Amino acid sequence: MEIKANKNIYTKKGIEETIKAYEHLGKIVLEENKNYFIIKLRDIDGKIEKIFQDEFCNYLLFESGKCS
Amino acid sequence: METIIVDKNIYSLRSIFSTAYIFLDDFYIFLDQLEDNKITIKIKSKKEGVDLKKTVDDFKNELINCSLRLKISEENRKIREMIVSSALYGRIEQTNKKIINDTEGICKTWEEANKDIYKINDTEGICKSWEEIACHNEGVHKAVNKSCAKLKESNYVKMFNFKKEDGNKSE
Repeated sequence: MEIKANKNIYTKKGIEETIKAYEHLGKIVLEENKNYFIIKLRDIDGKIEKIFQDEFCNYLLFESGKCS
Repeated sequence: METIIVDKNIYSLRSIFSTAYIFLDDFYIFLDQLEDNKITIKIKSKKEGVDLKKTVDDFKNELINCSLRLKISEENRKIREMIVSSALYGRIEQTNKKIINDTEGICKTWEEANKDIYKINDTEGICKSWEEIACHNEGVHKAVNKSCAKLKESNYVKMFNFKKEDGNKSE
């Protein structure tokens, strides 16, 4: 499972803060290419797997808005 | 899931973020940017059975609301900063009044500006208090004793003393 966050919208600091907040729930890896931050989510608990990505995106939006 | 495409030239990223914050409690929102300066907003409800079309309309309205609010806030930024800074530093300005180059006397109070009105031509000293006239840098008690002594010597008091003595004689 991966999230592609556009560099023009989401900030790196926001992504790092979000990873800090969610890293206890699974393995999160941050990569990037020219236009996107690629956040790879692994070993997430099956019970929360469905909502994890959506909640992560919401938190990411909040943190990036705060940092921008 | 519903998708809204918004032109970045019309709505700023800041206003899109502000609008998204309002909907974060009940919806999942994800933003992405297309190549032609357009932003896609993906909205997904947290609960089932929610009319997403209505939410999209609400989101669009709120987007206009937020961008207008931000525009007004930007327009009034300088005035707002001035009001806040004058409120914060008002006391300091008052104490450092002499430093201000107040050529037109705007900072003066009405009493300061119209000092001459209070200067009455009191040649007979009517406006002076008894203490001001009698004391002359002496204590009040001394002044009272002096005025009593003067009274004793006056014909008016002597007249009473005479009458009193006269009365005693008659008794």
